[in-house]
Amino acid sequence: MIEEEIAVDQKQVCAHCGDDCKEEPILFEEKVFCCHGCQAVYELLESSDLVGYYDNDQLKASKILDRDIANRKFQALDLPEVQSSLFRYQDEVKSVVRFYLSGIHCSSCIYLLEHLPKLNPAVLRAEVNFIRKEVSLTFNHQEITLKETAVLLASLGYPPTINLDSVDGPRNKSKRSSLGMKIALAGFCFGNSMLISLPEYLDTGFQLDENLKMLFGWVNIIMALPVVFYASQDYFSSSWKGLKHGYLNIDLPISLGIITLFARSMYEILWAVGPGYVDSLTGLVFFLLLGKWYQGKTYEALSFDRDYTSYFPISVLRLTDSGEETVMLKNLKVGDRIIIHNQELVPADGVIEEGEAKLDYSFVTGESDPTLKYAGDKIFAGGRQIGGQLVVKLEKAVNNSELTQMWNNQPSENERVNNYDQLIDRVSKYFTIVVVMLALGTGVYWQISDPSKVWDAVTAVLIVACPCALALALPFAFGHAMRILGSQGIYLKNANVVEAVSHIREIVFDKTGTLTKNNPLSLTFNGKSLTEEEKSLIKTVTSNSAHPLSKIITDHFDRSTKKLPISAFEEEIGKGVIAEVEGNAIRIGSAVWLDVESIHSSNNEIRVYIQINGWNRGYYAIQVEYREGVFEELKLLRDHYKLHLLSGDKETEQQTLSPYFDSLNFNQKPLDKHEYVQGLSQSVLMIGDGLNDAGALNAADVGFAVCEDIHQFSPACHAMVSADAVPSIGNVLKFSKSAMTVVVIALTMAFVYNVIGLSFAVSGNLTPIISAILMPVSSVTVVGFITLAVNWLARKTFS
Amino acid sequence: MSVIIIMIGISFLVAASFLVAFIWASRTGQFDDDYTPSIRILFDDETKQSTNGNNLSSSERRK
Repeated sequence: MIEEEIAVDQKQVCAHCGDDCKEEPILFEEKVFCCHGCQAVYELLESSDLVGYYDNDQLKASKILDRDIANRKFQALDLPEVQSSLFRYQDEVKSVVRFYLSGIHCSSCIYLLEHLPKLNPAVLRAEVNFIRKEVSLTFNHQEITLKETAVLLASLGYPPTINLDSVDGPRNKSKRSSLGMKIALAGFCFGNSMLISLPEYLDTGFQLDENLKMLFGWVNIIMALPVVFYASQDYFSSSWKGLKHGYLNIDLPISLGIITLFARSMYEILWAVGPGYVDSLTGLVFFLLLGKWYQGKTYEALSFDRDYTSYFPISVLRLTDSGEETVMLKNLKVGDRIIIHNQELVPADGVIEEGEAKLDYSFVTGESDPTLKYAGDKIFAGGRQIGGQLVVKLEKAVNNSELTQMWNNQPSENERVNNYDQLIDRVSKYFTIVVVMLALGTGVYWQISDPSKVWDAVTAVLIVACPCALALALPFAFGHAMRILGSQGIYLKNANVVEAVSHIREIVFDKTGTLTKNNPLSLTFNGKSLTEEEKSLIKTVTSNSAHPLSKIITDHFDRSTKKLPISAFEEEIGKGVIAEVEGNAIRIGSAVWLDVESIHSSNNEIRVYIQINGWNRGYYAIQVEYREGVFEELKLLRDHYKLHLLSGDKETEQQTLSPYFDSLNFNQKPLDKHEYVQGLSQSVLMIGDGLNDAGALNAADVGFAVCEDIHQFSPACHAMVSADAVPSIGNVLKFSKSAMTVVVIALTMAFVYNVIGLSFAVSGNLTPIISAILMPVSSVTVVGFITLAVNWLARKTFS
Repeated sequence: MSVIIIMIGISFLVAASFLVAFIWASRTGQFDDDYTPSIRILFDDETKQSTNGNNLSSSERRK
């Protein structure tokens, strides 16, 4: 048996996008281009003197979208309804719009996009936000329409992502900038208040005169007001919300502390009893806000909450009596007749009226074989049409379709995680009760022994018990953990996921795309070497078939292999193709269909047999490639966790996989997966990719979505895992667990500080200076410990 | 001692002006994107130049 490895020799690389020029390269000005689109951009750049774009080494410009497709794709942008929801600003001449461009990935992208006004003078200004992958365009709408700007971007290789959810409303980001403002204000007040309060702490050698003391007191009051009434608003509202719903959260003791500190300081200053605690108060709020900011930092360019609306286009073509019209998806009604072109998604369930559908449902079911449907057949939303044009009569509205329903049925946010009894909530519940009891006890004690000290002691207890260090421990620990995981290719939706991950007991894996690579790449031919003529014959046949396997075979041939005219061609779904090329009868397909004796095939390969003029020429073996290191990792994981496998495929690989899993489930539809995960009682981690896993990801306590490119579409999840990071899932789980241990130690430290402070407070000895020292010291040591410990753990786990 | 009062007044004014500057900068979105401007500043408003002419033209520009 002779094996023939695929060797691609002498790649001709496109001068624009850097891709291999496959079929026939286009020559232009002694440069090679893979398609006319790339050539057009090159011409455009050259005529505008922007060839400097190509000087950048990192350059890999995106593949160009065909202009016709682009025009159709952005048709919806001509609808006034869509325009008004996309425009950020508009006057008589100018319009400002912001597009999300998933194609932005390097500095040359910024270069090219920001030079748009040079390419088209109707665009007045273009500004890229690289982190958010957005471009903000100011253009003259008398000279260029919104649609044309989108097509312009698309023709440069940056098609804007416009779909239902980008129209439904802009994202809310003001929260974070107002937090920044609060931090700035609290920091300002904290610094100045410290300066003013310092003389009070000096020894008697430096005596302030009464006027200065008064002045300092008043300045302190001015410092305290904005901190209490503006910067700490969130704590009051959150604890009030908690109280209304009948639970005690960590913000309640904080709010109590802030209020007591403020009231007592006011009293001391106004009645000239003492200097007050304003420096402690402002410092406390400042540190707390810093912790909040640190925890709230998320990955802005990543989107974790995608549902079907992110995948669907915003508009389709509707057939009416008067002709075709563009209509927004949400305005489609039952009974409408719509046109679906090649590569477009079926937006709602319906019946085919005209045309022949070859629908690729891989997007929803994970199966790659296209389904064939004819006029009169019912089709479901979510399939992508490959081939000709379809006319479909809708039977259901978009949000009532079979598949979209599945997402609608889910609670918008995963309740299992949200209602999850988090450590901090449990701690704060008891903490609040203990503090209140202690304050009461202290009050009663002093009432009996020395009534003049009652208020001093009670307020001191509430002040010193304010759980600053306690409240800082979690944000910093989780914030650090999140950053470290991010550097390992695991992007968490928010910091709380760290805690949820540490409780995981069972792990459910999807197979295709998660354990295996997305595209099976290794292809070998078994049999006597093919002659050049035979290669041409095979290439001719496979290039005429839309089957994914045919595509793999076609792609592996050299460019030099010629395609021949074909005289007869018939494809039998699930079996193979029969064709006639230049008088040769060619059959390509499965062993059973070709009646070839199948030499027992190993588990993880697919075989495509070739028959030329009745003679068996051999077969192509296409290997399903597992990700590197996956099996080793599974072996390790199995020692600690229960592992499940859910696959949409048939059972061909059962033998390969069975040693690694506790339970194997094949032929799983998206709903089956969802139900399976829901049925598991312990804490479940679901690892999947693609929309077909979306239900299961949502049903699990934690859902990890595996993505080849984290900026591309991925289903709603709690974390995105870049494909290379899949074999280190075990380390991630281990790391989260040890991060939780660090948190527990830090909380213990915070408690010790609290006990020390409380012992001063209960005995009525808490002075402003003790509080001013104790609070920052406890916060700083706790935060410092966490930072060091978590980083040390990261080095230990991931090196 | 009255000099202290003046000093404190001035120090507050200075500090407060920085606070106002920060709030203004934050409001006008200057902290929204901390990456792109660092790239943008490196772009030349270039004219057509061949790859080997690069060094020459940049040294000429410096003159």
